[in-house]
Amino acid sequence: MVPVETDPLPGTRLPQEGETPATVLAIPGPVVKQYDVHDVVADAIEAIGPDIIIATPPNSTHVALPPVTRITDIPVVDPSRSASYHAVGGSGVLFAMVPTPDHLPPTPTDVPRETGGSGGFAGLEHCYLVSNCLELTIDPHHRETRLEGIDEYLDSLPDGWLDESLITHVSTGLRAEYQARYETATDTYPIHGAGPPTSSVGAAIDENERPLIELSVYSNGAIRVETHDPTNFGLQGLEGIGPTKAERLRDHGFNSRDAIAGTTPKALAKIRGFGEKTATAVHKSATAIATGEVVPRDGGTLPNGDPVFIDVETNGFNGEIAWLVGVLDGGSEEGHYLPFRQQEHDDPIGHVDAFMSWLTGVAGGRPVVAWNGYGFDFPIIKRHLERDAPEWVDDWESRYQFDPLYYATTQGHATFPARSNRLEAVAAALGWESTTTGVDGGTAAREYNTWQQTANQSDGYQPDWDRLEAYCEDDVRALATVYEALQDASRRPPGTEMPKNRTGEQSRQGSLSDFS
Amino acid sequence: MSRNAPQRDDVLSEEALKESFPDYSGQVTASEHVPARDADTVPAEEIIRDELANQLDNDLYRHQAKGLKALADDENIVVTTSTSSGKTRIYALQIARNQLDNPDATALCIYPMKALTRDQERTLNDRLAEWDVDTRTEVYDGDTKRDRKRDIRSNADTILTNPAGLNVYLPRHNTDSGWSRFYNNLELIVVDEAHQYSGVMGTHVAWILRRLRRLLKYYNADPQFVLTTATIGNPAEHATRLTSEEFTVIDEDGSPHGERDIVLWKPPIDEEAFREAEEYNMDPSEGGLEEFRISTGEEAAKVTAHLAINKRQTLQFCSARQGTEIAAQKIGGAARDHPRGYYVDTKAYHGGLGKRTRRGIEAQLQDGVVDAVASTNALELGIDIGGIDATVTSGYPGTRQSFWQQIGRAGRGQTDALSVLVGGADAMDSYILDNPSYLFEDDVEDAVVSIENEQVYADHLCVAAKERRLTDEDAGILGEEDRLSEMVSMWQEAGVLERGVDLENGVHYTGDTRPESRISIYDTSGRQYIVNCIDGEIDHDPVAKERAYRDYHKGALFLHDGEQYEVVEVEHDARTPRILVEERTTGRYTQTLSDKRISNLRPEMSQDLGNGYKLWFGRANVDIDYAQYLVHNISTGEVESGPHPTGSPPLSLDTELMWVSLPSDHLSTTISRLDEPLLQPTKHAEEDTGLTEPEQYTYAGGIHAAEHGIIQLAPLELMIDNSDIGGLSTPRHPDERIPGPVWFVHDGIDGGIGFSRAIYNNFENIAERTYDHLDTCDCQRRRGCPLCVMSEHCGNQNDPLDRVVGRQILGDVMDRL
Repeated sequence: MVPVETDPLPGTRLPQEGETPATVLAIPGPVVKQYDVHDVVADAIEAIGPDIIIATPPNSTHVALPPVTRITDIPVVDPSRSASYHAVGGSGVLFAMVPTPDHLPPTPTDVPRETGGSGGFAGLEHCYLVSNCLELTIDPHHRETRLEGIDEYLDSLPDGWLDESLITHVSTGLRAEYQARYETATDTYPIHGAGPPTSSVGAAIDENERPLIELSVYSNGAIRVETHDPTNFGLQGLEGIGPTKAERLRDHGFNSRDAIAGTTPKALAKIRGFGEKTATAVHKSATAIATGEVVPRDGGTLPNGDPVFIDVETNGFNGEIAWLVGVLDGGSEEGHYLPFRQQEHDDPIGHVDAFMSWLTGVAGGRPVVAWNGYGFDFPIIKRHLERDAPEWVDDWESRYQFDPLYYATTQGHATFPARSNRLEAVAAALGWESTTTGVDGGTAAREYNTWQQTANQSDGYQPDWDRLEAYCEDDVRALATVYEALQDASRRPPGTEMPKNRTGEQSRQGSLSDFS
Repeated sequence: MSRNAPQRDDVLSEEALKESFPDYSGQVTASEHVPARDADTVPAEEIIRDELANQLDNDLYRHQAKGLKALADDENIVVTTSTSSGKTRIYALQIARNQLDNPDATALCIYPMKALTRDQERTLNDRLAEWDVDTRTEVYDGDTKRDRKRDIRSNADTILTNPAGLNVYLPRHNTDSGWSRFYNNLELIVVDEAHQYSGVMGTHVAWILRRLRRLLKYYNADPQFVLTTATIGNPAEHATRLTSEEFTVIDEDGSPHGERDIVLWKPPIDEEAFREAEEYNMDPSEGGLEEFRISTGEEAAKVTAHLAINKRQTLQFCSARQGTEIAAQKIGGAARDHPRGYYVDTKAYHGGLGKRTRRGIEAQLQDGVVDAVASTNALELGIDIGGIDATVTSGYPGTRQSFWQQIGRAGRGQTDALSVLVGGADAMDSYILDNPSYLFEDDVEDAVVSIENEQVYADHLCVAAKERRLTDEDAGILGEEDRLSEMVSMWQEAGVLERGVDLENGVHYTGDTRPESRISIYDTSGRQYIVNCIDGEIDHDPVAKERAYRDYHKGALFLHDGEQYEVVEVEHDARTPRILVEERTTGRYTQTLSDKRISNLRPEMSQDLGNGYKLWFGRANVDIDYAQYLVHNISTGEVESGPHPTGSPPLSLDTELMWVSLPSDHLSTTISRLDEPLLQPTKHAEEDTGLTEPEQYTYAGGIHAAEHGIIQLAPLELMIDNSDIGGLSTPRHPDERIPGPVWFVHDGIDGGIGFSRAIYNNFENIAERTYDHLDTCDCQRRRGCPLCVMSEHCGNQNDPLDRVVGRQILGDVMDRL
């Protein structure tokens, strides 16, 4: 058996606990062409709060120009055009943006001297060297994947930029999810993408993927990627609003969500193409965001009884094993968290068995609630039981299961105050704050899989279980926050939402000093 | 309309047709009489338990008995008997047996068309109810409502669906409740009309079925397969290629039928038009006398109208290009013009009609209340329309398999039947009218399906990984060991499969969600063009990139369902690439010119024929630039304008191809054997400004004609669509392994779909047929005609082209075979 690499890619590492990452927003050219910059891009910048904005292909030149540069003070950089250097204060992270590595000074520590900056760059922990030099070609005919441009890139890279523990090579020509470790005879180079999916490479990559890219980068080289659909921002982010209706709203002077929340559905219904139904939906959606509250819509009843909130962590996309069932017994703040986690490599069911014993014994008759539960958690648990503990299947099947995401969006019983329907986004809009950083479902799955794959090695990998359990706890508390807001909304008379106190909002923006 | 059995001397025979047809002028060029056949039966109780046997209202036909026996012996079967021979009854009885043995047993039936699925749902439900089997059969496809789906997954015993649906449902096996029950208990998989799965779609279906089988292993299910196909040349091979299982062939047809005449009918010369042309001293252009033949569509309508007027319910099959609506109108018109003219009730039937309309026409056919129906090949499949009296096929449907399938529609039980094939104007039809024995030989075409396309394989592998992590146990069913591990490495390096682990550990999918939704079973790249009409609706299948560049560039004119359209815009870079078209009546057609280069040849097989002749098969890069097009006048064929730019980007294919390389001195030895008149440049050659060496030109015309001939006539042996094949011929090629002249035949689809491989494997037969046809084509013109070597897809305006020299070059190769 080939030994399994326990840290295959630096980008997947767990960052320091509690570290606030630097945030990069990558904007491809077409976003600026296709969407209203003042509405959509401005809203996206406000929501994501980046430390730096990078222009990525295709047509990156459209991005680093007015109007984008005019709507924000945050640096907007097109690495393919000119070299610039940016340090994100506090995190020890340096971004070096270059058309090619030829532009670089001899070493990363030479950067401040060359630019004559404010007294040198101290405490550099990691440098992200960003260019547009590398692209990926997938060639099924020859069954190979090629990193195009790597030879020229490495040839022009100064010797002082080789330290793999210090430098991550980022290309906007690679899709943001891409990462690799490129090895030559003498050196190793961590490579990461920061761009949208580029050309047709096969079914595994969605070319129409949401093209706004948020990269959270950490001082140990870890990177987390999240993509956003531009239609979630600005007026188009409101329910029932496409490009045409957004245009008409602007024509009638409704330039922002606040403006729409501040008017009446009746006034909106006068606009061409806005029936009473659309006007009401749009108004509710704008109100939800403006007030930071869930706005109830027609119909729908929440389950009776105290819910049991759950979130499962699995070993992969189509999760065959739920190795962690995180349970919150009680409310979002005071509730008691119970992580049922797999303990032994070869016992995939003991913890699920314990969970079912608890559920049927202690929590008999209470509804089970999971975010996107119908699409993920519930069937995975059922499948897991069918395979490994069929005696529990009937108990599980007969238990009332509730999915707030399905209830609100698919069934249309409520409008969330967030720009997307991700649990974290919805809960954050409702005031929930995450206590963990740097872990997501993919990281958790990788940690588990590495543990499993090194089971037979004497120095087998041991994940930081506490941290993974804490991440899952964060999610069940977020879930409870959303559920409680749904409950509040269902009890509240319609139209009594309170405007959100905007001054209390925390800015995610770190302090930034420029070196260009 | 009378449902009494028609008498043999009435209308439904060759003789009766000749005698009764108004102004009959020798259109029948050949015919075949098929004598009546009695049913060959086996007592049901010998094969199936009494419980079921007692419920049947008649015994089993021999093929049904054999099939059921093989199934009882744990074999997979492929049933390849004629249309309406009771193939459904075999798997219906198997479903019944399985249910009686185990009430939890489930079955999955896969059909190529939604309409057929609904039809079979009724049939299966009716049969099983008649036999008192307590079971539930349901359709599960894109039209099924969401809340019904959950119930069906959880409770149905038999699920009927289509391959595109299955592609999407498989990855949901562990998220949608009910599938695990269904798969755990799956005992039978039926793939109906399996001959439909060839070419690109066949490749996808083969991988979808492999994914299914692989997943079933995980559910500890090992179901049997029943495949049904129309008569094809290689049923066992085809079934194995599709499923990777072994099969027993059931082909001895025990069903009865009445007497049947099959008549080949050549449209006559329109004397009036011909006389007029002579009066004005017009020079017949490319088509020669053929230009004055009454069109296939007109003539077919006359035959159909004649049969309908004689109270014989008739089904006319139209090729897709003609359009059933227009055909129906023409039949109505021909009936009015008939000497005994009166109204006949005619309907058009095609896949684009609404479900209810289609069901209505099917019922009218069954009840005998409609006189004539003009249909696409949609009614060729097993939709139950009862028996009808006669079929008229307007233009050869492209394969013998399809032809026999259509003919099988004629005849009610043991009554007489008549089928008429009205020849069309292309090389295939011409060959068949000249060589009618071809149709009546025992042979039928081989179905061609390939699992070699790497792009298609790569995509399905990702979806399989999403369905369940890949392990080395998947080698074999998901590709041979090396192929699997290399492709897994490729995807790992691309970051869509989990890195740092090998197949021994199990490899998870890490790519974007729903990869299955980005697989289109109509093309290999996942990037297909949709066709929209800007001023109305058009029911047009999506177009693969390869065809879009050639046939749907801006300004291209094309015929669809009998109407002409012009492409007004092509959105190559849109999220979903799109072709915008507009209806037009122009009197013109367009021809795309291309520049083609074949390089980086990687031979995989070869056959040395000695003396410098060699056949090859392999892969290569084929770069095609469809840069320009010409606009022609339809009636004169003259170029009216152009060349215009197409705006199509260059197309780069890495695909399969076969080539024939000839001795280095073949040009000179061929020229030296030519008689003097053949050495004179043709009129066309003289007009060619690039002509410097007339001999070279003559030779190049010959090798070009040989290439065209092979491509045009390959469908005589193989079920392939020759619009997906391309060619290139040249007196010299830079590849050092090619000493002299060479011609290539390549798959027009990136990655290949097995067409040129099949041509390589069947080269001798195809070459022989091509040689015969080039020798005897009615045109006897040096440049040939559209019925032999001229091709509408030629990127060089069919220049140079020399039928006579082409035949000689083919002859030289055949002497070595």
